[in-house]
Parts: sequence; structure tokens; C-alpha cells
Amino acid sequence: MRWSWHDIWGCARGPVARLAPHVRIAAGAGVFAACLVAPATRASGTALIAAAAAAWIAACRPPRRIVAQCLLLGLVLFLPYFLLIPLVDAEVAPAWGKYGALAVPWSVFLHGLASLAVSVAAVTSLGMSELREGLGRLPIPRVVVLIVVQIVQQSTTLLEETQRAAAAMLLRGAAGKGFSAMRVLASFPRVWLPRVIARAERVAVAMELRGYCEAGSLSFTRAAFKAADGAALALAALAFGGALALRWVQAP
Amino acid sequence: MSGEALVFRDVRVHRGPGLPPVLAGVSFSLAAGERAALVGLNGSGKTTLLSCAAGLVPHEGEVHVLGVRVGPRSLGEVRAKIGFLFNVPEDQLLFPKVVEDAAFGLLRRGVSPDEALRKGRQTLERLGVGHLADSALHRLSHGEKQRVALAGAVVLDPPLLLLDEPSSGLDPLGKRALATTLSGLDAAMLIATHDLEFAARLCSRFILLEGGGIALDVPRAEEVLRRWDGGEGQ
Repeated sequence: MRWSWHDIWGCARGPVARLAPHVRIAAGAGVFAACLVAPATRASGTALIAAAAAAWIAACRPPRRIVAQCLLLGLVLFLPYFLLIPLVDAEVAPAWGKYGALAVPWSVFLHGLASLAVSVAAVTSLGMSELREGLGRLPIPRVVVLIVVQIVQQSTTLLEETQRAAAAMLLRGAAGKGFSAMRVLASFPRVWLPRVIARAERVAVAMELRGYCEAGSLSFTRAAFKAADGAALALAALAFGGALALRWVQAP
Repeated sequence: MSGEALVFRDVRVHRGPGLPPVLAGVSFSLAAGERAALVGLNGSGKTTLLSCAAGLVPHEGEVHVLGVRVGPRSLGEVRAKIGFLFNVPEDQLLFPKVVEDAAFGLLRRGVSPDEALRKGRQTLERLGVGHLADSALHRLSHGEKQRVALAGAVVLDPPLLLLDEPSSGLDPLGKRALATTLSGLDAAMLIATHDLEFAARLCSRFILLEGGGIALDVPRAEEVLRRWDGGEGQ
């Protein structure tokens, strides 16, 4: 089964999905920050990143297929950094001895893969409506919330439009060989961009007409804070605090 | 002017320097509760005219919506009296869940979330899509999206509805159902459309736009067709 952009939102069934939406976002951000801050060049940092990411994914419990695809994407994105090893000075990580040149790509790989997996797991634990509710309850500038929510909301139509444009390109010769195929492919941005801009303009008009940015609240539910929410925030804060401590404490 | 839902008086809209105007001195009025079809060939200015009424396009001349002159300082008041249906329903659907989108207008007016959702569901029921209230918008067909967009436009019972190609992309049954739904509403309607058959189900007046002005203002769609068949409008 192929997952669409919309299907990924809120498809997880783990305990995180039962937390208040703003707690899910805040806790996810905490784990994400922990994965970025912990020093991947030390065993303790690597252990913390791996443990935090694995625990978050387990608590969100996204479908296995999404986890697998996410890991595959991470490998594709971050493994090529190991090709840079010959160009890296081994002295950058003296603790790694003669393998010092590995430290940089390893750090990029681990931080990248873990933060990608944490982000995707967080998205699977949030429905689109919950994203709006959650962001609305966090201390984030209102205009940012409105724009982020609308970008996510409009993304499906944009993806569909992109697929239609791509299909038309294929039919008109992009699948062929040679110069004509290249020419069709090269014209894709010229076809796609005006469509996207026109659509963005129409949505902006609709937002203005419907008073989207003037609404006092975009929330349809009441805020509730349970003990589990507090525990989740505390654990995320603990992970982030641990990562900060590891970053600051000097290696022996 | 209290009996008029919409008044256009010598309205002109310019495309740009050196280009012919989109609207060149359009004047007409629409009575409260009246349903009129705004017809014309592509590029005749139908959408521009509707946009003028909603204060979306700068214009010369006077546009009045239920006695309020459309201008920069009255936009909030004017738009509160208008329900607008866009040509492409996706453009105006701003929420991921059907009932949330339908209820948004009420929430914006300060109605409590519970009450807004209740009335949103009621409106969806009234438009025959109550069973979709908890669905995700991206799962709906074009016709269903059209009705949900309409629900968002009529949830506040606006006295004037401006509908831009409401039947485009609908199958014959969908068109019939939409016409039935719209005919059950009390609001005055100005319906921009190419679909004369659809318009004939709803409207008792047909305004033909040509060359930036009103070429015909007649009670029967056949008169518009006759004009087109005679090639006068080409």
C-alpha cells in the first residue's frame, strides 16, 4: 500500500497519540532537540540519541511500513556523507584514533537519521486538526501557526497538482530519450510554478474572504492536561537535559 | 435601497494600461431573495464582477451590498453579508475536517466551539452531506467538496450568495442535487455560470455579459441561447 501525505498524519496508535496535542508537539520537539544536541562522537551521546529516538518511535507506534520507509530515506540522505571520509582530517576527533575521519559523517548520519525518524513519528501521532489545536496552544506567534497549518492543509492539493503536471509531462514525451525528453523535463518548473503561484493566490483570497486570519481562535476543542501529559513532557525534558549535559561535560 | 441585495452602478474594472476594461460601466440590481444567472463567454468578466461585489477587486463606480457601499472601510461589514462559492472548491476549504470547515464562520463570529460544530453539522445535513461531517476533506469527491464549500458559505445564513461556476465538474445527478439544495435557500443569489441548463433550474433572470457590459437581461435562458446561436455575441 502506498501512503499519501494525508494518510501519514495521525496514523500512529501508540500512547503518545492519547496525549494532548500540544504536549505531543512539545514532547516531540524535546526529543528532536535531544537527538540534535547530544554528541554523536561519544558512546554515551550515541546511546542517548539511539535510546531517545527508539523510545519515541515505540511510544508513537507508527505503522512499521512508515518506519521502514523513513529509515530507508534516512539511509539514502545521510549515508553518502561517508564518501567524504578521504577529505576529512582525522584530527577532528582525537578520541577516535586512526578512525577520526569517520567521526564527522557518523555524526551527520546519526543526528540526521534520528531527527528524521523522530519527526516522522511525531507527525504520525498527530492528525491535521490536532496539529492546529496543538500549535494554537503553544506560545508560538499566531501568524506562524496560521501559516504552518495552512501549508500542511494545502500540501495535498499541491502534491496532486504536481502529480498531474508530471503525468502530463510523461505523456508529452518526458519518458522518451534524447534531447526532446530533456526539453520536456526542463519545462516542468515553468509549468509547475505558475500553477502553484496561481493556487496560492486563490487560497489567499479565500482566506481573506473567510476571515481566516481574523478569527480569534481556530480551536474546536478544550485544552486538557492529564498526568500522562506531564510525564511525557518530563521525560522529553529529561532527554534534552541529558543531551545538554553530555554536550557540556568534557570527555575523559 | 433596502429591498436590493446587490446594486451595481456604472461599475468599471480596468485590466491595465492600454488594455480594454474587464467591466465597462455595468449597472444592474438584484432584489432580496432573487436568483439571477450571470452568463457570458470565457473572459467576459463574470468572476471579476462577483469579486467586485465581495470587495476583492478595485473598481470605479458604486457597488452596494444590502445597502452598504463596498469600499476599503466597509469590507468586514460587506463580507459578513455575503456567502461566496469559488470556482474550485479546494481553494476555499481551509480545514482538514469537513465539520470544522463548515463551522469555521461561526467560530470566527465568536460562537462557542460546541455550538459552532453543532450548527456546522446541521448545515451539512441541510445540504445533504451530513454523513461526511467527520470525514477528512481530501477523501471527498469534487461534488462533495463543492457542497462542503457551500456549507461554509451558508452556515451564517448570509442574505446574498455569490456563486462562481457552482456546477462545473459535477455529473448530471450532482448538478440536479446542487440545484435542489440551492433552491431551498432563501438568500439572493448571483450565479456565474456557463451551464444554462443548471441555471434554468434555479434562476428567473439571466444577465449576459459581453464586451465588458450587460448585453442582455432577460427572464429566460432561451433568449441567451438564441443570441449565441445567431452569432451576435461572437
